[in-house]
Amino acid sequence: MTEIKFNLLEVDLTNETSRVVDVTEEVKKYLGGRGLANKLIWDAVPQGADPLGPDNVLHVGVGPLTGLIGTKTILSFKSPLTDWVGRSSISGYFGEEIVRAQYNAGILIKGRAKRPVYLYVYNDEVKIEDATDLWGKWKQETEVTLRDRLNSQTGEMFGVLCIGPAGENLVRYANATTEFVHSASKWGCGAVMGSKNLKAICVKGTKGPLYADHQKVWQLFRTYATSSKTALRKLSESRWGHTTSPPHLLRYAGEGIKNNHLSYNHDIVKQSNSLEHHLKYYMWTDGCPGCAASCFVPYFKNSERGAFAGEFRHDNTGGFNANIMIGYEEMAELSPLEDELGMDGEELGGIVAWAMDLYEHGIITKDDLGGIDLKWGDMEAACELMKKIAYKEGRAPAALAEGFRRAYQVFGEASKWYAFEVHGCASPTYDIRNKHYGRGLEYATSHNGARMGAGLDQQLRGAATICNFAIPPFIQIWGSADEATRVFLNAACGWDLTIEDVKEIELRDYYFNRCISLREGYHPAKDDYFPPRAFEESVTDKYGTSWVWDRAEFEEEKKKYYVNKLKLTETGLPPREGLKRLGLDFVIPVLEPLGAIG
Amino acid sequence: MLRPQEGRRRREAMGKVRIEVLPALGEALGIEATGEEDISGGESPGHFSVKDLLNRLGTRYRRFDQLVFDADGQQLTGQVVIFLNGRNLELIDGLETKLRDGDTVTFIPFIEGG
Amino acid sequence: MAQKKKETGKDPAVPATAEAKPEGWGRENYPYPKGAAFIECDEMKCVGCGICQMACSMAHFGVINKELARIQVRKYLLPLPKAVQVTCCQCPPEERECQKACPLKKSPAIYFDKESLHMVVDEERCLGQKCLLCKKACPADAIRVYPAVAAKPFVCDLCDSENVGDRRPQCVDVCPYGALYFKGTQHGELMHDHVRKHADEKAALIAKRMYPLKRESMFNPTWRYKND
Repeated sequence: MTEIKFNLLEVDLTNETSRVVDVTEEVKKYLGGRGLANKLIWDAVPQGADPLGPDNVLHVGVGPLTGLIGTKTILSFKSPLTDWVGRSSISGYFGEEIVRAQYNAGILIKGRAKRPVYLYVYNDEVKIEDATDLWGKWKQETEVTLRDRLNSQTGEMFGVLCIGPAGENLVRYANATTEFVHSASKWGCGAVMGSKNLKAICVKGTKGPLYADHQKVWQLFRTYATSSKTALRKLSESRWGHTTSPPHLLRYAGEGIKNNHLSYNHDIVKQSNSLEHHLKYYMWTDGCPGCAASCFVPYFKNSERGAFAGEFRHDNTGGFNANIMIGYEEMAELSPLEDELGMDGEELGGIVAWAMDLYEHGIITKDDLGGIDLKWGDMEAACELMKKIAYKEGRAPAALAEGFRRAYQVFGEASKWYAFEVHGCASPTYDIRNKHYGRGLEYATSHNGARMGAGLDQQLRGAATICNFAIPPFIQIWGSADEATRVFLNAACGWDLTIEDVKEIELRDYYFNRCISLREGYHPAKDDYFPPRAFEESVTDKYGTSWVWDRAEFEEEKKKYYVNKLKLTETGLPPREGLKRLGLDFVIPVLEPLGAIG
Repeated sequence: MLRPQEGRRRREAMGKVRIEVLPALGEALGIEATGEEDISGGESPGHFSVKDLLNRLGTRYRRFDQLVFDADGQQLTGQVVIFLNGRNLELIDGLETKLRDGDTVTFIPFIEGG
Repeated sequence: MAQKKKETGKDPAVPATAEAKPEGWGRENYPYPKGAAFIECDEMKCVGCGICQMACSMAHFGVINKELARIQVRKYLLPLPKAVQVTCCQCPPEERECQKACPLKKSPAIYFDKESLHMVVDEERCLGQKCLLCKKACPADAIRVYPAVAAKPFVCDLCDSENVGDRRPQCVDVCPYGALYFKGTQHGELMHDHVRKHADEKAALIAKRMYPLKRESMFNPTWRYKND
């Protein structure tokens, strides 16, 4: 069986040129997606570069398994929110077009365009097109205009990834979306695109994916597609999407209520009912290429205030509606605005709640907010604030657009206690105090920010690329995630990997990703902490269980987490021997002076 | 006179652990919301691990077996997260963690969302 | 571990469930039709996974390439993402625009084979890329071309590639959502031009679920019917 080649499309926006680079050897070491991106970022982005400057890069990553185990596209870049390595993941068919155009190592975007542009990729035809008429448009209008235009030109349905005004205005947690409801939310990838004057990326591929053994891949894939385990998975994913976890978590003190202050609140939880939302507004189930347990449940609500279409997911809803004291009825109208303007719903859930808290306590005034009476539970006031944040209008909104850490400098010391953030990133959901449902330790040890996805076991997913929600039936059929990955990789790429090889790639990718953050100034000793409220303010769930952390306990748990879960030293650093064994010794001279080698 | 078997049993018995599970999950697993389990008769003499506990519950309760173990019985499905004395098992010694008299084992449903 | 034993065969990469048999959600209870039949798309159930396309290209061309599929799934933004399938309906003779359009009037190269009961393209006589009148004539655009691999156009043949009367549509077998039906025509009423619509048209109709009133807050896609 011949091994396949891996092609990376490299685009230089400054000179408006592009070329295709053979990165097969790198992909063998790191796989694609964020694995390959580690190497690309390490090499291309100078240490200390401005994430909103032309030296930053954006890797739109796919990997050998994109489209086979769900379709996830992984964006990697230096984050404008944290200044560390950023990673954002997005589903929908956009990534599959990149695979079908046979850029199976993704697209690397460098430099900065001199005017607003969009990237046009149609198989081998790569153009940097003028986007002046699109600049300023909100997301729906942008995506539909581009889809219509390119369809008229070529007869094809392009995949379109675009930013909204928040990305254009460099809001540090701006997002990029495709098909309107799929969102690359985290760590400001939208702002990185905006800083490059890149309004959208449009891709169409008709060549078909590159596989070493199509028959073998199909045999494996068909097993998955027709398995009863997959059918069972569908029962939970395809009706509800991910709308059942927030209501569950709200009962168990797993989601923030009123800026993560309140214990269980009956009224808010009563108004956060997924079945009611589903019966009133659910339209149909939608999904991603290759996934037989689709999990998107878009909704449509028509009211006298207008028509609102969007999709509730755990991330854009869980830490948001209850946190600002509104129910799903109002959230259905607020949520599309979040997508239209183009900001990360998880970050906004914390930021807007924080703003309401600061307003209540007089730390910011109505004047600061440009005249908004930002009361708890006021959906329209929240929408007004979101618009102002997207356009950085007004003293408080402009500060909020910069994220917690920079906003402290504007609002002062008094604002810090109210901020429920880890690593400068909002952590409203999976409440960090909750040891059962919360992800406190995961956030506190994350070198990406405050979010799932940074851990060791997520690296393979981000590099293969594999969708976390598509993989469970694969695990049940093939016995483990590593084994499922292994057999698919061998069939698709023509390789002969063992389970040990797979584990090695995973650890290499994890260490390398962490090393980039370490290079950019992250250090567990100073950064891996909880906000004071996690130790000082407890929350109680509906059934009487209370949660709060003890400082000494936190330090001890953190150490165990570093060692047992992340295979780091007790101080949260990559071990020297491990780095050498995995072929990452080149990072040592760079990280040693920073005291970042374990 | 001590019958030999009795003597052996007495030597092996090492106490009890408390089992806790959310009522809803308990119903799904087919086990009581709170219960006690004798920690004796494990795979290796002298200690009783979490793995021994899961095996015993899986043998006794079919639904537990189906929810917690995968089809081959080799791996956990991950649908149920296990805590020992309030700490996630992964942070201790995983399935090999030895149980002691008075320990509390809690089963929590795995919640995900993105 | 608890009583389960490994049920699978020796090679862990090919579990026993690798047999090409649909299982698990009742598909096996729908027997294949005996007489004239076609593939009906249940558009509201389609999620856009495209696994039907993978099965089709594999069955006919031995590779996974959605462009080489006879059934096509298109994604629209209505303003919500919606997938719509389209494939040949095996039209009745009065409505068979492709066969009527073929310039080989005495004996069209694209025709409905009355023995095997599905559309056939006679690749030897078909004029290929320089003609394609059949493709232009089909209102659903169900006839596919891919010159890089196939010299002649191709159309759904209900997976009876050898034309021996063995129809086993792979897309129907594999669709995880049961969004495709392999249906016989009970009284001849189902094989009719009213289901033969272009994917764009189907999407525009579905969109009407969301635009019964004038809206101010969201952008209108351009391909809505103009007389609204």
